[in-house]
Amino acid sequence: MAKIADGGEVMNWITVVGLEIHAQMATQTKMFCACRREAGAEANLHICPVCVGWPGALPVLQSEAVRCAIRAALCLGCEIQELSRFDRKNYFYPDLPKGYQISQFYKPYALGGGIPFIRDDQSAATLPLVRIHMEEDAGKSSHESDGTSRIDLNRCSSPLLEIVTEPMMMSSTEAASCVRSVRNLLRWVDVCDGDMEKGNLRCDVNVSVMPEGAKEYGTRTELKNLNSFVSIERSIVVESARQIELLAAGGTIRQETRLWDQDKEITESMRGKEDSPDYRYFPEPDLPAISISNAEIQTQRESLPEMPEVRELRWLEEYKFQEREIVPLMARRANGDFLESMVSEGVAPTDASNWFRGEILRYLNERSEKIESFPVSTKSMARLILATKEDLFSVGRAKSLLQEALEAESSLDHLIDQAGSQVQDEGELAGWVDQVLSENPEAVTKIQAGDEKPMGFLMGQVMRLSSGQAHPRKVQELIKDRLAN
Amino acid sequence: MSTDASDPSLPARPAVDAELVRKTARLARLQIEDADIPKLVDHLEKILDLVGELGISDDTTQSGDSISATTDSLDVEAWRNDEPAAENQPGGPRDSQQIGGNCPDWRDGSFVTPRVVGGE
Amino acid sequence: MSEDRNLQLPPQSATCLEVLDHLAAGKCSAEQLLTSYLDYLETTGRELGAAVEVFRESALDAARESDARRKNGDRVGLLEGIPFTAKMNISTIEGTTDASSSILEGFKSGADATVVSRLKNQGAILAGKSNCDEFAMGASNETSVHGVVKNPWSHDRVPGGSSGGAAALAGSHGWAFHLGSDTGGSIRQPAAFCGATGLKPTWGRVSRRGLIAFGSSLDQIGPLARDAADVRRVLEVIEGADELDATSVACERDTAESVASDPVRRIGLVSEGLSEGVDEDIRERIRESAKRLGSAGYEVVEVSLQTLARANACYQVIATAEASSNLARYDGVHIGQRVPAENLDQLYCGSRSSGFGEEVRRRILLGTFVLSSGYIDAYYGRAQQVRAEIRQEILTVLEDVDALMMPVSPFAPFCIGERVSDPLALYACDILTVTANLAGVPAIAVPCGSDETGLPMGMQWMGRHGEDQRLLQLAESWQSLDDSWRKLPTGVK
Repeated sequence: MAKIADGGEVMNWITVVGLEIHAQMATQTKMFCACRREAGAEANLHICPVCVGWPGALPVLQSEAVRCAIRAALCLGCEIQELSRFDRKNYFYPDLPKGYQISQFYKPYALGGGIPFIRDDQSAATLPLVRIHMEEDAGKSSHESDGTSRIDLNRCSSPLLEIVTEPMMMSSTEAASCVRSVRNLLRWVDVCDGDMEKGNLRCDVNVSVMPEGAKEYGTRTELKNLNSFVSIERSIVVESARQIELLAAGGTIRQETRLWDQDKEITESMRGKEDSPDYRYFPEPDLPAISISNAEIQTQRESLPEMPEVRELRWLEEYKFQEREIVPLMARRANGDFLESMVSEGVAPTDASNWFRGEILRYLNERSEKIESFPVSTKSMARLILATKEDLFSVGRAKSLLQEALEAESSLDHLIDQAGSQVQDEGELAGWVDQVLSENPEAVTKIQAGDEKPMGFLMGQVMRLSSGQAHPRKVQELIKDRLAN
Repeated sequence: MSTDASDPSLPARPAVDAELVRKTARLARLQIEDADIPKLVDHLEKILDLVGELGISDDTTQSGDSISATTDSLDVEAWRNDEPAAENQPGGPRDSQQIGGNCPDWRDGSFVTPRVVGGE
Repeated sequence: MSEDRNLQLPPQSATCLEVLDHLAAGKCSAEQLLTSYLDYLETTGRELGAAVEVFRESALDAARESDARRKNGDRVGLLEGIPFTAKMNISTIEGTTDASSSILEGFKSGADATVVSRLKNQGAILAGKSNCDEFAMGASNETSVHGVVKNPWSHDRVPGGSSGGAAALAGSHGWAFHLGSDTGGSIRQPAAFCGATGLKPTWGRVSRRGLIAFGSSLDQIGPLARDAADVRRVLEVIEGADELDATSVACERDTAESVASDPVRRIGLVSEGLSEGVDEDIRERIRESAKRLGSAGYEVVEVSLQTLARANACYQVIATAEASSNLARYDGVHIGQRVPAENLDQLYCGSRSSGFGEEVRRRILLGTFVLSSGYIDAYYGRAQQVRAEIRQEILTVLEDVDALMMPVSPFAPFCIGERVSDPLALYACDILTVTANLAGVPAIAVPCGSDETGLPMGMQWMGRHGEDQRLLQLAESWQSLDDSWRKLPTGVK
């Protein structure tokens, strides 16, 4: 809430924000053709007559995009429409080869719902949604030094969801928190990779301000070109300040679209409402209406993973996890899934959590990798952890075995087998221990005098003598036992 | 009124003038020569008069509500599986050479245009 | 070889089915037949302006392969060795597919439309491409970048449009069939003007994939041929669901066998189709034909189609609206001809204005207008409502009768240049044909004799949604009563 002195009186201004979030759906292929959806590929590698808008080519909707859309609507609490339709949004732009974008205007597939988010004061709130609709993405243009632009249509016709919210009083950080919440949810249900840097999650923001106590929202401006959470936050701060300054000086706000300049930290007018394009929406005659059956919705509902808040609550209550340890485990659904899988193999939740946050996360962080690429299976991890419980070897030994398996890319199971075959027989162990003690009287004297340092040396000697076959903890116990007597 | 006077729900045909023709041509990205404007105004007027025969019994139209699709009655659910097509399969990706070959300016695997300014 | 001395080509008016028998009997080879047909395309076809491209080499190769299949006893297709042409707006691997527009000059689609590949799979041989109005917008074949087409029955008259080339070929020679497209009458009206038989199938029954779109919700590919039996055979090959056209459907219940036991019995003669706006001799001929059908055992009743008067207005709005969007892709950036330009805006406007012809520009302008802000509800929205009324009325009327009967065109083939500069005069050609497109139902045009000047006359039947076969059965039955379809124009060689 910004305070501006107005004729000696201090006036409180409230910012109202609405969001339009574009999420690219994580499908194999594009929305209406069988081209691969691949970011970062060589320019125009994934183009075909359909997505290039060749005469005679026709769009055919793919089923996975519809399923993704249903899952997104379910986890945002929307009402999925039995009948929805595609419409054509007509405008000319070089990254739009058909001269129209296939979108949903008159009959979107999902209405209502809301985005759960945390207010700055830590209270829970919901940003209501107007609708979600499906549409196809446009291509990309890049500018060359020779004054031309190059058009790459790889991204063209990738499946998108556009999530449109109601306007709501909120701060810039709360707005960013809403986008983050959507990102996390869509990632959670495998709908969108949610990577703003890669552009598969994008956001336009509507901003208006009004004096505290006002009944009507002020005139809004639409901010485009926000490609990070930081730009969402900063642009709202900067734009609302601009509007407040203008209004406080007796000016008026023009309804317009503005571009965010991240480097200069300013918003710049792109076009006014009077110049806003006339999109001439009409129903897409090349695609049948989409009818989403209750059975399909039910199938998707059942396929949804345990939602984060449910999992969190269960972990707190059932597993007795601490709030703090939950954070890294909840960061991605796959993290928790990995943990759950270890638990289902018999590992105690606390052990699973400790190992995950310790050894596994360290390994992943060092390499900036995701759990999906962790080279050890949950089954092997469970064996390793359970082996320490069964006293086959120590936790320290287990960690070094894991380390060895990860570094040498060797089979952890094989290493566990080897380590598990260590000699535990008291008689055999006693022979090696007694020999080492008799050969190292100085060390024995020191230990008996209270200096524990040579203990490691004696251990090493026993291990060497046994060619690594002796069970380390048993050896340690045996040495202590011998020296105590 | 260009239409049957007994149907009061029909609006009068909008006055067609040079500005309307120019504005519409601009939307359609068509260049109109000044000399062609009188003829186009005349044609558009005549065609809109013809279209004025579009009487309807019910005039409760609200924006969008009157726009229904003819595909609604199609009893098909022709959804495609999310599987990439092999190169040169019907409907699948084609050698970009071929797509480039039909493009008026294709260089280094890209469509080339004069500099694109602004955004959509 | 001795076979050459016995070479016996079928008569020029022979239908495809007759030619199939001829080939099966070994009276001539596919190569011999095709050689002669290609000569016809290269001479008369080109003189009429009907044949734009002739694929001599690839067609002869295909004919030789066809002959080899017959000789070796391999599987022969349903149209084995039969030549056909595709309209310039239907994609083919061979040649160009420019929709008769200079904006698409030289466009090579690189792939066959689904219908074309289905035909080739059944042994049919693509012999060439036929002329049409630019982007299929016209009713006289006078807006083509490839020039006007002459009516084979009277060279100073138009062949109708937009499938004017296909109709001129079908009207002047047998042995082959021709793929046209029909958005508001573009198969039926030229078929009637040239003395051919042409079917606009149920919307969705034939895949549109590979057809350059004009008004997508109205467009339909269909055959033009000598008679209904040929049309039926072609339909059976090209119809059916296509995974590359989401609006295509299989009409499996409507087959030649299914309608044989349940043919058309009651025909509704549409009284509005015989109103003042229709030439007297055409009205007369339709009434006579109705009487002949009555004598042949059909029950003919007069029915009213009240929406007919508004159909053309509705059509002009919807067809142009969809066209304005379908033709947006010709922007000079990704495809088509580009004019030199300093900036993007000049490139768009310049390329589109010089690439599209006058009629196409006019329709884009109208279509853009009816969709634009402030006018969309009054024009496009209203037209959609009227369309719904038309569909409903057709549905209701066809509950009582099996088929509706009307003229195809309200007037006889007119002179070249007579109407082209007056859009309203040109749009009047469509008043009796657009209803079938708006309702999505099948409609067929068949010859029913000729007028006093010897020009062919046609009549039209519309059927229920998905009942194309029943219409074809009626047409076949008519053609066994009336052999005017058999007549070829004199002086055409």
